[in-house]
Amino acid sequence: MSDSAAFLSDYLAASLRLSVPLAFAALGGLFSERSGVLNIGLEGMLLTGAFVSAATVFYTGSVWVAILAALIVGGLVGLLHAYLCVTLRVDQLVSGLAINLSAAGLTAFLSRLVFNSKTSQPLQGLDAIAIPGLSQIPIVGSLFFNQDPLVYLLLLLVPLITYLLFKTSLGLTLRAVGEYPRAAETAGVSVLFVRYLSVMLSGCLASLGGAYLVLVHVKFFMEDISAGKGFIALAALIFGRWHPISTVLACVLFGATEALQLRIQAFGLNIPYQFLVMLPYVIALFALIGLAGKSTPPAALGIPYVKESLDD
Amino acid sequence: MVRKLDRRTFIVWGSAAFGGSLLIKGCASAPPTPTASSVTSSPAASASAFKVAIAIPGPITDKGWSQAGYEAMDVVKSKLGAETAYVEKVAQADQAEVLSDFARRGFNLVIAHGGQFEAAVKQVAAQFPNTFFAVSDGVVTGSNIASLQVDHLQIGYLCGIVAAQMTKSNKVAFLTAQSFATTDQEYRGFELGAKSVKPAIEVKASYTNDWNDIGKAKEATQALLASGVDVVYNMLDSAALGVIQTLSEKGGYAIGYFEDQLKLAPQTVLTSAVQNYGLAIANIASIAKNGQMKGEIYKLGLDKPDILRLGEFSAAVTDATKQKATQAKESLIAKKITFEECKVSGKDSWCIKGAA
Repeated sequence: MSDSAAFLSDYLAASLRLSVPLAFAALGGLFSERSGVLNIGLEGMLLTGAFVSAATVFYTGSVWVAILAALIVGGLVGLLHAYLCVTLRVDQLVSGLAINLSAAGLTAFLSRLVFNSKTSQPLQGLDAIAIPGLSQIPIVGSLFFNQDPLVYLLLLLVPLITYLLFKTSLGLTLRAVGEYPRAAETAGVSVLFVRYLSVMLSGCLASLGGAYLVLVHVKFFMEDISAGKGFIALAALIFGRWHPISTVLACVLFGATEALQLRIQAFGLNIPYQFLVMLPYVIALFALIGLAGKSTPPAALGIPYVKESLDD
Repeated sequence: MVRKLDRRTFIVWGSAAFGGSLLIKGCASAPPTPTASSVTSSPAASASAFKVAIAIPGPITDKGWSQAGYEAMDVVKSKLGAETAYVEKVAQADQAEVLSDFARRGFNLVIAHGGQFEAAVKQVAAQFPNTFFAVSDGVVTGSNIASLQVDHLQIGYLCGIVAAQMTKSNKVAFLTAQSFATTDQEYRGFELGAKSVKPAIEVKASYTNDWNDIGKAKEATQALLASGVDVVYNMLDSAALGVIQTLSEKGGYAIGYFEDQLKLAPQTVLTSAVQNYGLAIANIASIAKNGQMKGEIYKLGLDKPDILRLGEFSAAVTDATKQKATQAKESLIAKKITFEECKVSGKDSWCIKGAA
């Protein structure tokens, strides 16, 4: 019996670990897309965050400086995306793609300059902090209350973002900009400013996902370490209908099926592994068809906003 | 007005930054640029300088398969004085283009680094009769196609013996990215080796579908540990680090692959299936340089210990285990143990020939 409890808590912990980077990136995407700016550059932002935190911790040895650096550089990548999409009104898909491609190229190039030793040594990682008392609860305790600060931050962010988005005037403004920017502008909101801020926040959050990957999960940096997680986060965002809670739940679903398929393989059930590798995506597809119903994006998503007075 | 200026400045600064970084990159590596003349006069060029090129599937920093291919070019350059070139991260769709580009530029020997290049090589080779193509870990042959093949069954067999000797739970696992001829042979060899020591042992296989995704390798290892496995034989590239790391954190033994990985974690790594592909490729290149290359499969077994061998043993490995492994190695080299194709529960596989 204790064996199966250990197995369960191990499985849940694996699910959580696999979901966290997705959840950060998806919440980042949520900010950007709620304000009306498509962000398929999440993958590139995640990768940038992973590289920047790895390089910083490699040089300074301080995890906190690394997280700060990831936040700043992630914000800068967000700023670039915002500048291209909001000010220059470049096609938002193209801008996101450009960010993904340049992030992949630049991080690969720079990582060869930074980590050129032949055997890579593990980077310093972020340690778990157990919350006294709560961490003693069986299964749930070690899962939620014996984690590293980034997981706590994520657990805090979900209710916080939900509250911010749906209960405050700030959230109303953000959503208005994404739904009907002209009305928001009429009400005295600067659409440009809100979009800039949201997309930069988006970069920061996605970058944190990358930092988690490097500082907590893997403790190495490898080229293309993001391995498509940004795109899965994007799918989770759509699947979660641009709502913070359901988006994070969608990320957990992806993480949990991934952990499950690895365990099915480990237990040697005679299923071709190619099917198991597909499993997270298949489940998401079925969930989309069965549960999600009609998924409506913010009305102004992907449409650049042009102030009439500035039109030339 | 202001915005227009913005756009223009952005383009100017953006292209300046891009051009600047290109310049830095260009100065840093300064790749040999073949001139147009070598394309037009390839027969003459082949007489003057021997040229070898390699197409590599992954990043050259993967500390595994792709890096070995890249480093092989250094050996070729220093040993044979050949002119070399490489292209890394060659996607499946670009294989034929990369290979024929090398051939057009007059390379005498074009190495396709990996069995996944087989189809592209077959398609391209016929158009370039003056170029010899070699496939690492391939099974194709032709008038100007050769294959290099490490005996995966043999080395897997030895690792299987070590794993079976060291396991306490009688569950061992083989962890790789994908299933194809090479990995299947490695797995089967591992299984046969393990069962030769403990017939009742459970041998599992797990696939991550990615040679370099450390995170996934870590999670896969964790899942294997949760199912009771205590020895994991990994056949991965950069992802191997994740396997070894997880095993050393959670307790369990690893068997390294490709390089001697003992130094990564002396407490965890029992031994490694060491392959010196760089040397193997250099040998092939020197055969090709002497014009003795034949369209056949060049097999590399345990009888060539500088290319294929078990790595150093860790302190945890008992003398009895070492002895068993050495005995098996000698029987394999002396061909007392050989493998033949057979069917196992309806699937094509390999068995020990004349198994008692």
